[in-house]
Amino acid sequence: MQIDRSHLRIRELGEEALAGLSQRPARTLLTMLGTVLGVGAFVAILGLTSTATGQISSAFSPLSATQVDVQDTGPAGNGQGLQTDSPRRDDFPEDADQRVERLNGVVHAGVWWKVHSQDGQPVSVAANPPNAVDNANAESGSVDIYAASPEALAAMRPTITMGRSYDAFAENRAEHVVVLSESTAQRLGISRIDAQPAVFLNGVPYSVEGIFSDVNRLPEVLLGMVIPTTTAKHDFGLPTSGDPAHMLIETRLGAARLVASQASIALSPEQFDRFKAIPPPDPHALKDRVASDLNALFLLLAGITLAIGAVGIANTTLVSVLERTGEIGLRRSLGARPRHIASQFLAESTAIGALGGLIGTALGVGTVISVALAKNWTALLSPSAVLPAPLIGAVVGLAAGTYPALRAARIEPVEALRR
Amino acid sequence: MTSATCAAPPVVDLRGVARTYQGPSPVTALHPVELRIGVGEHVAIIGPSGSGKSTLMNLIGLLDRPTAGTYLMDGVDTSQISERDRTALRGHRIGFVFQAFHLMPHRSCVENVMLAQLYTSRRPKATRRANAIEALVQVGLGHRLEAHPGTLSGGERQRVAIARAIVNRPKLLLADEPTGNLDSSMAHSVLDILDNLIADGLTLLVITHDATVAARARRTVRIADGRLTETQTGATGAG
Repeated sequence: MQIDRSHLRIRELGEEALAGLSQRPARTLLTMLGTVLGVGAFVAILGLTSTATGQISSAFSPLSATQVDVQDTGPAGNGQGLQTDSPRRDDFPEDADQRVERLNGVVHAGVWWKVHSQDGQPVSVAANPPNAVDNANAESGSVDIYAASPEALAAMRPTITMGRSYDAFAENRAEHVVVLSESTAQRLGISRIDAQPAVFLNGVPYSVEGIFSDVNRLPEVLLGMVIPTTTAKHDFGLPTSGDPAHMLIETRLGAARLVASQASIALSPEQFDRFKAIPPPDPHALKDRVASDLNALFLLLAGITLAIGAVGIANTTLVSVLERTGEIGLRRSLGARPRHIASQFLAESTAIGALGGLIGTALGVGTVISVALAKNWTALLSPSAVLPAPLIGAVVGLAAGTYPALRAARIEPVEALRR
Repeated sequence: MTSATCAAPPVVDLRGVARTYQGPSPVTALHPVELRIGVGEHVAIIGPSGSGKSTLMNLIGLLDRPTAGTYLMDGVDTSQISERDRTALRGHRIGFVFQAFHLMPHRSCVENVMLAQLYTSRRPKATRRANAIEALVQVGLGHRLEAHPGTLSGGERQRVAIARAIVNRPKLLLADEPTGNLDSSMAHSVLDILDNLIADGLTLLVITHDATVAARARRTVRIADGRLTETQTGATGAG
């Protein structure tokens, strides 16, 4: 056969499809509406949920997302970590703070515990020497005493209102210094520290270095006072098994999970399940959980809208096939093959879907951004949700156009030209 | 254009071609037909409506397949080739002119004529546009290239359709009631243009029920009840 077979270039197919669509702009726009709404809802829902959950995680992130708590799980061979024969122990190595602070991403790391006196009795706390007048103003039991290394104290992020917190010097020398919470200071009648007041713990004087009004971490110390760990060991002994020592680590934002995985190894290289580092909850896991709860229903709704949009496209394309029967006959007489006719109508419906998807995506993104602006949020749009959205429209258009296109291809030119 | 030579096969060679529509009671629309149309001939097929004119035109135009017989189009046995090749043959070697014009209302004259080259020509768009303009000039519409069909008279619309039919330089021009929708003065201008095309070597087959249209042809074939009877008329026209 020496005849050059019929063909249709992709570019010309596109041009024919666009020419077909632009003949009836109002109808084309109305046909798009379903896809616009469906894809728009899709993008808006995904964008709004990710934006909203982003706000949730940013609310807790600065504090808890940068905190790692290391617990002592007890010596090997003792799963409970509670040894009745030696109720007091401190298994954190001497240089625990330095070991952990060497890790990349650590801001402060320090050991702390709640202090109990040797005899099991509550520690008596007083602002005056024990035998000065009487024990009338001696507080006991209701004031908690915490031992914390200077780094642990720093990791608590206290708001010091008067004086200062103690430093490594006091820690190394086991100085008798104390930092009071504001409420404890009020109860003890201490309102200023320029007179170098002292607090008597079991009769031993501790000079008040500073007073803090608030802490960002370990809020329990707000009802008590903090002394250096070396001093606590000297005066009150090791931590009890009921209140074992912990390590508090402040990390840089985003480093918490990595630091948690490394801290237990750094503390005990020979037995790295000796210490258990508890990272903050994974923000992604939390976000996903919130998002999936919120999304399911709305996405179903968007899917239904999209399906209605598909039906709309199918309907309009079918009507247009019937209307343009004469044109189909003409094209067949001019050498078009059935597949050329089918591909033209498919291209038209796909273009409607893709254009609708594009407009819908723009509207969805606009909605997310305006809501975020109105609420002073940071708009969070994941590219994996936004970029495929116009494609979804195109797929919807392609699927919707399949039946009308097949109908158009099956029209006999003889029948078509009879009109 | 190719001119008629002794060696050239007939453009249309129907050998016992018949068409029967199947159904509960089969209808024979066309009884076995023998018809040969040589290169450069001007043939009119005349008959009342329902006589099988359209069936014959669809068979010759490769829009329909005969149920019996052999049809050689320009020497190619069309019963032996695939539907794809029949479509290509139709696009390249046959030009259609319809009674209802079948112009695309939203496209200009040039764009309407260019449509005929969409599926058949591999040349760049600029060349096709030049070809379309040339065809429009040939039918006397060089001044209305960018006009839309809605702004044209009936005669002008049919001339656009003729330009579209000849732009691919077909062997055969099939005109189905080309003047059916036109008044007599417009009909004359359209028929004059068709006459000029024959002078250029085109083969023309006009299907009509109008005796004045048929009178212009050198050969007239009457069709009635699906049967052909040829009357050799020494008609007017260039010879």
